[in-house]
Amino acid sequence: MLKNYFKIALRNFKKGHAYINVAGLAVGMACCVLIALFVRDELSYDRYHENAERIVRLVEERARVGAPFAPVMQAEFPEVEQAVRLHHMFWSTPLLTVGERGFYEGRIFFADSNLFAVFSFRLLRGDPKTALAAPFSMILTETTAAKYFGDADPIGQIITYDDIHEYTVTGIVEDTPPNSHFRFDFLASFSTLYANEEFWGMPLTWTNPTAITYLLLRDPGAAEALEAAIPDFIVRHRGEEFRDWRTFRLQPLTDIHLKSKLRFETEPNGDIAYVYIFALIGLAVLLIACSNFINLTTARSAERAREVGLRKVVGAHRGQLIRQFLSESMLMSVLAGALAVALAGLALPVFNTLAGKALTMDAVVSGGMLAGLIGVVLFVGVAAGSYPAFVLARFRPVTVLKGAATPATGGAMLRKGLVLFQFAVSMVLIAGTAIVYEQLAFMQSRTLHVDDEQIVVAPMLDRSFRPQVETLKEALMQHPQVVAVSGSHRVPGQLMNGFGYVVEGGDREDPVSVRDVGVDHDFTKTFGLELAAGRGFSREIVTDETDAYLINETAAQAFGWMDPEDAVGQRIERVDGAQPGVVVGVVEDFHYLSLHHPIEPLVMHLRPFVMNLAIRVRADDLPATLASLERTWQQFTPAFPFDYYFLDDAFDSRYRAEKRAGQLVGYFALLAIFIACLGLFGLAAFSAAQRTKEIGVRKVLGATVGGLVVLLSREFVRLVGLAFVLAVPLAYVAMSRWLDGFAYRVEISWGIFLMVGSLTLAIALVTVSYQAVKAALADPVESLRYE
Amino acid sequence: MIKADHLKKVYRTDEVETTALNNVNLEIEAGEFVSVMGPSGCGKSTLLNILGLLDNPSGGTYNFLGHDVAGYSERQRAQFRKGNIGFVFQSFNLIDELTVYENVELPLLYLGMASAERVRRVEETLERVNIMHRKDHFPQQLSGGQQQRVAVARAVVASPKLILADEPTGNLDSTNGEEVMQLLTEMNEAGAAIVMVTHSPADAEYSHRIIHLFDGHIVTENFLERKYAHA
Repeated sequence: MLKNYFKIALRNFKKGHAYINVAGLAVGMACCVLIALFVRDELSYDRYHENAERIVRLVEERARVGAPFAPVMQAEFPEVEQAVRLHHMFWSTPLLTVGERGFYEGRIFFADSNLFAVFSFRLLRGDPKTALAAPFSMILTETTAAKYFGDADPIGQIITYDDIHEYTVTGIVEDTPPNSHFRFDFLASFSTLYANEEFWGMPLTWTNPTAITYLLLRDPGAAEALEAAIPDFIVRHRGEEFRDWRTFRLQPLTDIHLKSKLRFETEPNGDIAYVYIFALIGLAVLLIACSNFINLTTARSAERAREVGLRKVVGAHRGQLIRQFLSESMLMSVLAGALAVALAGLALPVFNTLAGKALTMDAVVSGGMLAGLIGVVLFVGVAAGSYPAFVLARFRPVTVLKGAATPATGGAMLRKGLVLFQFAVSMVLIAGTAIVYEQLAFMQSRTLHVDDEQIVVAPMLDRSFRPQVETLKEALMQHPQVVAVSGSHRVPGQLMNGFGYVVEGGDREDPVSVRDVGVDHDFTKTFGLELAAGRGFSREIVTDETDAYLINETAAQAFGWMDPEDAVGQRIERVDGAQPGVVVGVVEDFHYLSLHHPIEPLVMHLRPFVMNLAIRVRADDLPATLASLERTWQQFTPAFPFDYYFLDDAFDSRYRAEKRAGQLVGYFALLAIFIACLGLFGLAAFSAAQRTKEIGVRKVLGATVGGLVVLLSREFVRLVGLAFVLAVPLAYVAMSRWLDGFAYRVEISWGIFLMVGSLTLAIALVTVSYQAVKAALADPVESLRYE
Repeated sequence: MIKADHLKKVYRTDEVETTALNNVNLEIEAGEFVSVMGPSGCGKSTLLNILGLLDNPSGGTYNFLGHDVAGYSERQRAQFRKGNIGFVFQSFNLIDELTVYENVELPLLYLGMASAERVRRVEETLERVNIMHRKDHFPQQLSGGQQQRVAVARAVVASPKLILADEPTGNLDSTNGEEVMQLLTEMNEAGAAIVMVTHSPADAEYSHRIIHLFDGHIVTENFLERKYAHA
């Protein structure tokens, strides 16, 4: 008997719209599988450490604290089993060389020798207890070791750091798993920093936040009490006046990736909000696909009322029919499940690129996901089979064989509800995508850029070369495509130092926090900054070199000068009395950081410690220009390659999370609307089939094709309209909350909703009218013959 | 075999009450071949549905094979129908997704018959209606006459005691129609009682008795020359 059911199911599959049905469900489930992989990965960060539950990170408003915290806390608090420090020179990318082979490296961490006692990084070569003990020791990851040494044994080999220091390789460690909140290519001994304190100009004091500090607690429950004991601890070591100096917190290791957004994070972290958003989208797409499947199965089952009647006439009882419909829909759902896994596997590489991940399908097979998938398959199978199974199987053969009743009307409300839901969700997703993109475009438009030109930034890594910067600038200016060149400590897009400044002679207890950057005379010209008042730096005025400041409008206001003109001629100094100077000009505010944050007060002076060279070039024929710049560069500093980036890209990378989210939401919105349309297509076909006779009669009575198309489409249009009404407030609330995460944001315009509404309506109309036109064009004699 | 007393069937909608059958008394013996004639809307199909246990009467008693089935639930009726009653419709009503063989096999499947026995019975029946060579075709690949032969095969494959035929030749040309009537006569001669609704006096000639219905009443009963085997 089961064989008979499957046979019928397969034959139905071949002939009807069942493939639409299965394809829609498969696509929906595939999306869900991908999203589940993503969410699972995001939630898995740092959990691979054996001690993950017992590790906390000591932070204040920054992710780093003074170097003495770790050793002293380990010594004084019995509940701290181990304390380990990491230091990451996030601003520098030193040149590491082995013989002739050299690369700029960014992922170098200095770590205490007990790193391996706290974290579960697996050391493949070397002694975990001593490998990071001596100064100038260095551990390489497997990949890095192969990059520098190929097949040769790296242990005991020397790596040169910026042509200044030499490190000895003392170990090889497995590559950091991608789901780590910090990832390194090199681990150098933390003792190196002490041996080198003068050179780095980086005092390893309590107040200088240099060390990312992790504590391994004996009991994870002790974190709260320990946190409460920190103020007293600081008073013990720093004196009473430091009691309220900073608020220290202990973050569980496993919270860092998704819940921490401090300054000086080692890498941009993920965001729990995106995990929720994607989980919701996954659920929504799955619901759309499922409701589609249920919808179409239900609708199509009506065509089979006759079959039900016949089966009853020849002896089937209800139980048998229920079993038949359930096993049929189960078969379809299992088929869709299998197809979904295959589709997800195929789409995974693309998804990985979009999401910036390296996910594999392994997780699907292992553990909870498979159970979840099977659960969904079973649920959908039962839900989709239930209507035909329990409602249809109840029909009395006399009625259905006469064809008098149109049994499908029973599920009509359900179907309408499901269509409404699908389209509302699709519209929310499309509106969400549109708003994300609008915000991205807005941020890009507000970012510093010079029309038709590009700003190329080249880090100045060769210290010995810095005194010759002016000569290099002159040489670069010779190039016809170069508009301006400026050397500065930092460029927009990079994090700038923060200092307290006061109006000269003002209240030192209440300084203004400002960003402070050393620039040269050409900075404003190179970055296209406009003056709001006063003048720029001048080579003619020698005193500018030592005691002139350019400030931005926000700084002027922060100092209390509401009109920029009032600021010109005022004197300011650092809170410690250093660097007094006169404000010679005020520049218009510009976004020198991402638009997530409000513009902060900024002061510029002519005492640059040049670490970056910004070159403003004409954008046409860029490759040739860059090649030419590189030749000039190499003449000056042959040991250091011309490593550059475009300022635009640097800003863009700050919006990477939003861009990714936008793209992903966009693709899922497309899929959602696609699946919804599949459903609509099937329903329209069904509805047209249901009304074949009506259409025939109307045509005989003189109805036009146009009139019939309107008649058949009207109901769906009404549903899409209603979905629109539901979607707008939902999308508005959700997107307003998302936009609240930005200091500068677009306003949600009605235009977006109008666009989304008309787009969806257009898609729905095209889908429906295909069937409507087909039905309306049919020969009425055909449709009436069956009567 | 069948004894119906004062059968009554009333259809009710919100406003209108329609009496389809009124005070019908009918006895049919095993092996008898009865034709029911009458104008459209006289209650022929309603009578057939009640006799076939597809529908319940609104009043009166109906005794089928010694059981009083008038008050049976749908489930009981379905159970009783299985193996006892076969149906042939004007519009054939084969299941399009099943082959000829599978359509005929269906009643046996619902009877829970063992596979070997099913094969034997289906093939035997297909031979009997002379459609064996088309057993793997789907209904829509067959002519109307062939489809109706399949339908007859399906009706008789479980050896029912009663075959109900609702205008079995209504959609067929005269040659095919005659063939189907021959087939039904053979089945009748093999022992099955037949009740057939028809508009065709020629078809009615094949039966032993013709009942004329008008407005839900039996108006005349004519016994024909042809004598049935078990009389």
